[in-house]
Amino acid sequence: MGIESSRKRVALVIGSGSVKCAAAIGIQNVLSREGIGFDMVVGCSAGAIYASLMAVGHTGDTAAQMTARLWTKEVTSKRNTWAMLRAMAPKMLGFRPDTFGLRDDTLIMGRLRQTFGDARIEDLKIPLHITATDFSNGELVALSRGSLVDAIRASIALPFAFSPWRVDGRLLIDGFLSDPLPLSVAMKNGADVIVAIGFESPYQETVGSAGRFAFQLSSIMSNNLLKSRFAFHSMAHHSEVIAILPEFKERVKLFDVGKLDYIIREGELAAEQQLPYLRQLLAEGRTGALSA
Amino acid sequence: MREQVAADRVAARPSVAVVIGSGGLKCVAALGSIRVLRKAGVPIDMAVGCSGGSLCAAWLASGHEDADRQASRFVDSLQGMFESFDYRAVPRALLPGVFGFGPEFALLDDRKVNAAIIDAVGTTEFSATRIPLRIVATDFMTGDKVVLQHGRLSDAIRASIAIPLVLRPWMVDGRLLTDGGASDPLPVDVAMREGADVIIAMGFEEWPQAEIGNLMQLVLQVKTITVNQLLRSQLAFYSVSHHAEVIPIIPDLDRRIRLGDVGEIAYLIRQGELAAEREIPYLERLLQLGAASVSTAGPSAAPASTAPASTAP
Repeated sequence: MGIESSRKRVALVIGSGSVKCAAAIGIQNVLSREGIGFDMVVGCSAGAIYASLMAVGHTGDTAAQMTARLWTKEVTSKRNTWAMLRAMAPKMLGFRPDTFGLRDDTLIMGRLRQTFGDARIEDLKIPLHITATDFSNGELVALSRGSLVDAIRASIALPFAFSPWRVDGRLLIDGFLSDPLPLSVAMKNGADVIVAIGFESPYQETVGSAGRFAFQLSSIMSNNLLKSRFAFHSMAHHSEVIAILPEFKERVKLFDVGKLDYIIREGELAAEQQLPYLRQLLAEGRTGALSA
Repeated sequence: MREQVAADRVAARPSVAVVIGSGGLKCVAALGSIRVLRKAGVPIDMAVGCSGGSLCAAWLASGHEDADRQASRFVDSLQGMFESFDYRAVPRALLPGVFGFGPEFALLDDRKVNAAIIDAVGTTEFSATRIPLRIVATDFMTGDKVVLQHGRLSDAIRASIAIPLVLRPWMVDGRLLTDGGASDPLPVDVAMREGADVIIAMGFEEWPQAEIGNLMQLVLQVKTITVNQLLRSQLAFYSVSHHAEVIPIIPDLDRRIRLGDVGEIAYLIRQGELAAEREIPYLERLLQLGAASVSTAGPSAAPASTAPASTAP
């Protein structure tokens, strides 16, 4: 029991990165094969979906199958025509930031409910924290209890595409705006060893529309924020962070569900590379416990 | 002998850089801060500017003591500048296929802005500034931070202040550059790399939008969120890494300042002064401003050694 309680607590943090976040499944596969479980999972934006599947208790294979059906291109394909008109004639039709999104969210909400039902975050098998951003003051918000579907919906509220989402009276938007790889949430919740997987947002090859322009800007700022946060955490060194920042040789678009196997495989390869170091860190924990 | 000691003193003195971050009109607060630093005798060996701060950095580097007058002249030229809406932007945004849409898209006609920059710095080149100057912009295609230090100041400033969607990006040396604030709102590391020992970092947080009643205000709100996070994150990193002594000077503003709020200039300069005054005692200790004058002046100039006390009311 003494060993158990003083064992190092391992967290998995999955940053924003749309379908690339599936690489987290690869990490889960490798670590569960090694008998290493997570004491906590943190997810941001699309990473929140993968983190939730793990926290619910799905194996890597099931999670892969489920996301192949859940997070597909169709979720953003239906336009919200009213939103377009409101953006063009804000005064006449009434422009409200809390309801503005150029894409209709009915499909993604339906799929999230189908997958997660009425689950509450605090009841899941593994403690889960989902991050979003407070729309009014820009602060990072960690959701650690309450409706799972609401938390995921807030975390993936990509500006302009999906409308913000209200949780406990706060209007929330996509977690990547405040921190694309929220290591701090795992640290504050007592993680000793953090396995973190993060992704740079892709840059546009051409900027041929206002939408692509906006995407390019948000990629520039969030990638710089990712680097800055990461530099801070490696310097501050509050916890051991094993960072996995996969660089996919194949270009993976936002909803390249066809590349899911490739992405998961890359996650597995990256995790295998880090295994010796992770084993060493966890062994140090055990020795410490025995001598204490 | 005494000259030799004085020269050694100067050589051994920590080098001081002033970094002025992005913040639109708020950056004029830096003029107040610089005035306070000069009055206290803080030596400034290098200036780094980003976005709105690049203009103040350019004034600082060119060594004009009458920066205030220049600022007010520039500000006068700002009147109405942000109202020259480029009407071609609307069809371009709505029907990109027909009217053509590219990275050079912007809502504002930039001719007045360009003229005001030329009016402010003329054709001065980086090589002609009194102290070294670095201006930060962002590569629009790769998102990388770009440090400009050659060529004309006007091109560098124009690139650095290219507020996304408002002013079109600016081509410098074959790279399409946009607002420096998009990659680093307070580029302290530029001064570190140049070997500064003490870095006075003047940064500005963006205020949330008062109301969000159209798409543009929504875009600005999203930008504000990320830029503030980036600013805080960079400051946290620099204070932990501690490669150099970083002294942030962040004015306490009690109101939201927009680009066109020219009437707030006096208020901003005053807040800049107050924010700098709070750091003066620490800077005096750090740079041994009082001690240096004692040892270089020597015993023959004994009365001068009391100067620091009398000039700090």
